[in-house]
Amino acid sequence: MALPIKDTPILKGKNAEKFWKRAAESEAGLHKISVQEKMRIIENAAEIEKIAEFNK
Amino acid sequence: MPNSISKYKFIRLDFNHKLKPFDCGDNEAGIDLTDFFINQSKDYLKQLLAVTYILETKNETIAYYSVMNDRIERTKKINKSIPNKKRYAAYPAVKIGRFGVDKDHQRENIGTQLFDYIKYSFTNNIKTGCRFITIDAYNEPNVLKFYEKNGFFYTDPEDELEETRSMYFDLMDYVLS
Repeated sequence: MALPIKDTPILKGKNAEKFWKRAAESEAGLHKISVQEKMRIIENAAEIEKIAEFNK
Repeated sequence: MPNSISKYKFIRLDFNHKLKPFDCGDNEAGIDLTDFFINQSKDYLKQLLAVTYILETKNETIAYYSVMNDRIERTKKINKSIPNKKRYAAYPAVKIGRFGVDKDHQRENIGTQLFDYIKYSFTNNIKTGCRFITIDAYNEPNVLKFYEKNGFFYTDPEDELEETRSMYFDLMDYVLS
């Protein structure tokens, strides 16, 4: 029997502060991925969209 | 290096779909991922808990993933040094509950391609807000390394000794780039 899919934990204390701080930094653009990585994501997604048999 | 993913079909599981053979490997995570796909993916669909997407040929399953709604939330107390407008009580997320690639197709970059598609699809033409991708990852070095390579961080260091670990990817890092 496969393991059940576990709930995402509710964050607390310093762990929550660390997470929310990083989220705020992301909103300020401090953790942007590289242009190359973004291009790779777009290209890979386009390849998969071509073979997707739903949303047609 | 791009593989020839164009030769596969990419479908969304429905009740009438006949699952093709799938084997994610003999290790604990592989056995579990195979079992989930073969025996539980339709149950999760029936219960409206998760939808499974499948990469396949006429004869075999290449890879699959199951997605469900999620959220990342915190207890009420939080350090006031974080600006008010940033202190949401919770962020909407989508969880990749299970994600597996057949053992004969691992190391072909298929996993990264699928994750790239997931990142793209939840930031383009979306029907609802979604800030994070979360995963319930098997606590095995090669599995965790794969997700780290794909930009995921650990949600909770306290689950270090559990069978699975919670990780997240912030879609804002992709959107703003």
